[in-house]
Amino acid sequence: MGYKLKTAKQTESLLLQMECSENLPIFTLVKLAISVSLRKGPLSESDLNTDLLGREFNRPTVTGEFDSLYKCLMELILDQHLTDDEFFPTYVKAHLDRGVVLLEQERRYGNDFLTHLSELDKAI
Amino acid sequence: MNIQSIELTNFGSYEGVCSFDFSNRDPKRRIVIIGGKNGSGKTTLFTAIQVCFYGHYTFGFKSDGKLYLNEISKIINNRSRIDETQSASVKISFSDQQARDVDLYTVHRGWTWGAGEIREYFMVNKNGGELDPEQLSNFQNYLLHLIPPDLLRLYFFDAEKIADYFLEEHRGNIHDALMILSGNDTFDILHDAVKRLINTDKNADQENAKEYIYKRDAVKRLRDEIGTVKTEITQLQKQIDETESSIEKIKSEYAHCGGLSLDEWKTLNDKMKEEEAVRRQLNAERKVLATEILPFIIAEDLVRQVKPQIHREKEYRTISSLGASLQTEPFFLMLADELENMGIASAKQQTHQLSQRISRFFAVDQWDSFIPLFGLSEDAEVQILTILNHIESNTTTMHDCAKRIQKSLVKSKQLRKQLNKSSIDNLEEHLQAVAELNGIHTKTALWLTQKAIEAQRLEEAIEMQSKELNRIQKAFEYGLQQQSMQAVSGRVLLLLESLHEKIFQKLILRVQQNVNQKLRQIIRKEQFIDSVLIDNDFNVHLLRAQTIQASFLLDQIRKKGVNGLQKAIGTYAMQELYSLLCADEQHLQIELENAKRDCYSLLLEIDQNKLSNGEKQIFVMSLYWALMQQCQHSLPFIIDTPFARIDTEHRENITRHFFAELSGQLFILSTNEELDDHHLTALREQISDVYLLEYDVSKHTVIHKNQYFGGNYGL
Repeated sequence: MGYKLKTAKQTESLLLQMECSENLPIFTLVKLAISVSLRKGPLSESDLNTDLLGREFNRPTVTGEFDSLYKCLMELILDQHLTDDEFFPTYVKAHLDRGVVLLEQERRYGNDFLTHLSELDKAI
Repeated sequence: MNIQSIELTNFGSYEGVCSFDFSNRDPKRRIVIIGGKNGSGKTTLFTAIQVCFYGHYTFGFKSDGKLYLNEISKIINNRSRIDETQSASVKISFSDQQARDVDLYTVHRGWTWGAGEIREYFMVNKNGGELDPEQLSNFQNYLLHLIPPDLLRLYFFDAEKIADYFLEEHRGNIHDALMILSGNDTFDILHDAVKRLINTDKNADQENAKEYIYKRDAVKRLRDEIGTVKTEITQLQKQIDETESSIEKIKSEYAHCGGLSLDEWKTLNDKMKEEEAVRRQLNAERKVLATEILPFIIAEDLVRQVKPQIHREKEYRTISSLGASLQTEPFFLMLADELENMGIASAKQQTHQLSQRISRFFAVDQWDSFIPLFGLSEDAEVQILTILNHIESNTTTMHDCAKRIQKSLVKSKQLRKQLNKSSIDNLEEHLQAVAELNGIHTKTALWLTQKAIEAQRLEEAIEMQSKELNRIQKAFEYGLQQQSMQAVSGRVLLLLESLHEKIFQKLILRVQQNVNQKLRQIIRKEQFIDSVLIDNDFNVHLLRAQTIQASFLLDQIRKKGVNGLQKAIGTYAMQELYSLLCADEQHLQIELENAKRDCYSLLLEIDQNKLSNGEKQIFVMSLYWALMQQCQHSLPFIIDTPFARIDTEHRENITRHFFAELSGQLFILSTNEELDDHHLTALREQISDVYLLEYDVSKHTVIHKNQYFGGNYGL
């Protein structure tokens, strides 16, 4: 059972930027990033192969009490049951690294980041 | 008024109870003759009647004091006077007709004595009932009005003294007697009342006028003062309003220029801070939501699939578990045994069919190829479902927070705008200006209060003074009314005096006619008096017509002038001369000289002092008779010594033309040398009773009824 994951280098810097600019805690940002990635759909091969040069996070920091739920969501996208190890850190890292980039993109579009994120479907 | 009876008890020579009864029914018989020699008690009876009716007035006293009681003491019978257990009294019963009613009175005046003192009592009984003190007082007043004390001597006629009454005493007696007898004394009463009114103290009116003017001025001054104060109040109020307006204006201008008071500025800031706090709170909430809810709002579509999947997997597990349990050899064997036990035929075959059926049931397509995706434990499922429920119930919260934050931002923006617009730079200056104006306002308000108090005080003073003025005004008006009344009274007085004069002149004329008439009847002497004239002062002038030579008249006028002639012949003769010659004083001599007459018949005045006593008496009795003819009341006359100074010759005339023609009840107290049988015969038809009084050896008066000097007297 994995307990830690290491993000890509880009993920770390983007998270730091967003932490400063949005004044949101890291543990919130990582969750938002995963959700944005989950919203996009299945991962690509490259998504699953990001570097490990970024920041290390504990599992509770990343998924918190929503661990099982996040697993279900990823299983739904994959349409395949994931083992615990596959879930964390592999798929969680993949979604996190992809999600942070997506999150950064979304950040540019809205005055209020959180409101924008909550209205992503309306924006579409 | 008719006397019915007289009862004397221990009065003078009347020792014990002595009574006279005059209650005869024949109205024509009105003369009572009471004869008696000198000292028999006639005069005592005469006095008793007066004392009974008039008490102290009889002797001319105004009250029943010691002097009066002394006189009474002298009158009380000497013998009974010694015995203190005794008493004396006079009781007179009389009837009095008023309109158609006849009242019977009994007047009872008496005296007791002891310890050197005499005490008098007085009672009146009217129609059987005793009069109470108030009624008694009224009765006495009635008697006094009927026969006033001043006229007692007219009704209680002492012929020896009546000449003095008319001739020698003050003429006012005759004037007063005439007015009272004719019922015209009310003129004098009215006259006196009017005079009193006219002579009301004028000083009081002047004082009232002064006081009124003073008080009126005082009230006016107060009113002027209060007017001034009220004007000041109005001005002060106006000042206060202007100050308040200035304060408002300054505040408004300050506010308009963005000026804020410190409080306002603080309030705005506080509100800003409040909003900021609200936003902080909301942002904190949002951050929590951003962690717990937002991620799952972002992947909303995906999240929505979780619950159904869990339910499907749960169902699959249930079906699988059940199927796994039911499709086992032991289950079928049990089933076969049971069916066999139940006596069902072909139990095995049945069981086989059942097992196939059950297998078919569980072999549905949907579960056939179903592969659980999540593979969650029951606890994990419950946890996830709980999270999903939490997410569902807080989905809108995110939006609400955003809205509330937006709202707060807008509000903060407005507050900021307001703050940016406002300034407290000039606050101090503004506060100073406001404080200055407030100071003026306070001072002015204080003055206003003081003025209001002053106005209140003046109002109260005015009210009090006005009440006082009202009272004084009424007194002043009353005084003016009195003055008006005095002015009217003056005219009334003149009218009364004019009426009085006219009435008196009429009366004098009547008396004059009656005197002349009676004199001619009584006097035997011819050419005694041709005329009696009574002037306004009630001087009686006896006139006799005489022939005067013209030469005498001329001689008198040439030597002594008109005045000398008037002295010689008298005023009335002079008036006659003027009338005859149609001349006045200046031309009398000329007319006399031109008249060519030898003599004139003129009425010369007779000097009364040259009349004999008898003549005087006759004249007086004629005058008396004439006066009594003016009397409006029917009152008894009591005449003592009727023929005093009258000679025999004239007595008959007096009997016929005097006694017989006096109206009302008449008591004649006569000696044997006066009214004799002859006279009685002349009066017979009118005599009701005859009494003879004798002073017997036991030294008291004895009353003999129906007796006269000649013996019994039958009526």
